[in-house]
Parts: sequence; structure tokens; C-alpha cells
Amino acid sequence: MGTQHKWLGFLLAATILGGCASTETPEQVYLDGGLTGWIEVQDLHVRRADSGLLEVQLTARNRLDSVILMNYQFDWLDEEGRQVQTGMSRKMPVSADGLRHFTISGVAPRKEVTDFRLYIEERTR
Amino acid sequence: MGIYRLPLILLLLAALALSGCAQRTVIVDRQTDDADTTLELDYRDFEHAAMKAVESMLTSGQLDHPDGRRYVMAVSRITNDTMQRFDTDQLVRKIRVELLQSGKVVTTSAVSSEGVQDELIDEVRRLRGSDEFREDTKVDKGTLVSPDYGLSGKIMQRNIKRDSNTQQVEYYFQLVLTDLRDGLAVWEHETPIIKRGSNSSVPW
Repeated sequence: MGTQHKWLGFLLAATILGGCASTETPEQVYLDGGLTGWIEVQDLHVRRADSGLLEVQLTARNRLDSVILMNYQFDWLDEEGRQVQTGMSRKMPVSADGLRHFTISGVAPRKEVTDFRLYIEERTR
Repeated sequence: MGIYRLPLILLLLAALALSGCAQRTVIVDRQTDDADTTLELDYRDFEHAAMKAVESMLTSGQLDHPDGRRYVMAVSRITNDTMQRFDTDQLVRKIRVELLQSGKVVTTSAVSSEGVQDELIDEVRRLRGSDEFREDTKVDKGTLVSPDYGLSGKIMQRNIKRDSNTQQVEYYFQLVLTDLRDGLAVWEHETPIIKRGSNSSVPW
């Protein structure tokens, strides 16, 4: 009986740890410390549209069973890694329902943008 | 001696306390501004609405000219249909700047339904008959460019009393881009901004 309990405990621990295992967050995406365990980045789709502008769409999942309020901000970079000055780089609100997927989309403000950084932080209200 | 000094000490203490309570004036850093929002529209709302509109316009494909050139846009009427007094240029200017910088659109200052066209455009044309100006610096006829698109819109407000303590104020930023050759609305966008707060606040 005692051995059975031990195995049961082991299985539970393995399940919990397996559930917490995260897919790797892309290097362009910076999750605020508190969010790293709660938000799982599932897909980062980047393409150069016919317009010549870089379009980004991030799909992620809220692992908690409650709503998470967040802000995100894109920093747009040119090929030399310099930040492109634009009014399009500002904090925007986004929320994720519990255990649901959500997306964050952005479009580069100019054609010379070749890369980006996406910051996501928790919002208190 | 002590009796005479007491009022002076009290006065000094009161002055210190009052100066400690004085609200400091600070410059707001827009990137880190986490101040509570108000029921009224503030700069963050205009930035939010402008950014969403520009993103939508740029991804719609309507601004991608087949010849690779920039479209010419004229700003039509943007109506402030709210209870607040502000210049709708607070929204339009941000959109104009971002569209210009995108390389997709240039805005004409020669045509506008709001009567905000640049007076100098007409003024320099009146100089054609003047002998005071060098002939080769005068503006030729037929040089102005007709706009391809017109940007119009409206900012609306609805106030809803939710209960005895709370009210909801809804703002809708509605924009339309019209192809001026055929009059068709080729792009439309609405950014709702919904705020909830105390009934004691007055959103105007």
C-alpha cells in the first residue's frame, strides 16, 4: 500500500512538472518576470507583407484558469539594430482569458524595419 | 518668553505641514505613465485610437499603390460628437505623421473640407503677376496634385448610468477612408474605448 502511494506521488509530481514544461520563448519576445510561468508562447509568425512592411503575430496561451491583464509594446529595429523612432511603439493593453489562447499583432511603421522586440508585462488594472 | 514663542512655533509647524502637502508638478514620461485613467479622454486614448487605426490601414492593403508611389490623402471632416472640447487634430495629426513616415501616404495641404488648407498655397500663386519676384521662382500653373483618398470620421460619446454609484462612458473613434475617384469607402475602422467610474465624476 505504502509503495502504491509512493508511485502515485511520483506520477502526480511528473504530471505537474510535465504541465509546467514550457516551449521556448522566442528571443524577440520578452516576458515580464511574473508572466514567464503563466504565459506559454506557442507561435510567432513574422512575414514581410506585399506592402513591404514587417507583420508580426504572436499566439500564446494563458496557463492559469483566471484572466491575466497585460500590456505589450513593440520596439521596431532597423538592420543595424537601431530603434526606429515612431509613435507606433507604445504600450497597448491585451488580456487573456483563463486557459485560453490569445494573439498579439503588430505591423512595422516603415519598410526599413527588419527586426523587433516585443515586451509583455503584467497590468494591474 | 515661552508664551510669546508658542504662536510662532505653531505657525512654523503649520507652514511646514502645508508645504509638505503641496502637489508637485512633474513632467509625465509617456512610456512609463501608469497614472489612473479618467472618464474624460486623455492623450493615451488618442494615441491608442491613432495607433489602432494606422495599424489597420497599413495591413489592409489599401495603401499599397500598384505603381509603388505614395497615395495622396486629404483630410475631410472629423466631427467631435462628444461632450468634451478638444481639437480633433489631436487624433488626425498622429495618423498623418505615421502614414507619412510609413512612405505609403502623403497628405495634401491644398484640399480640405475643414478649411484648414495652407493659405500660402493660394498666396504664392497670386504672385504670378508680380514683377518683384524672379520669374524662374514663381509657381507654374497645373502643379497641385489632386488627392486620391479622403479621411473622414467621427468621435462619439455615450454615457450610461450603471447603478447609483457607477457610470460608464463609451467613446467610439470611427474613421473612413474614401476613394475620391468613385466615392467608395475602401477602409473603415472603429476603436471603442470604454471607461467606468464614479457617478460623481463629470466626463466633460
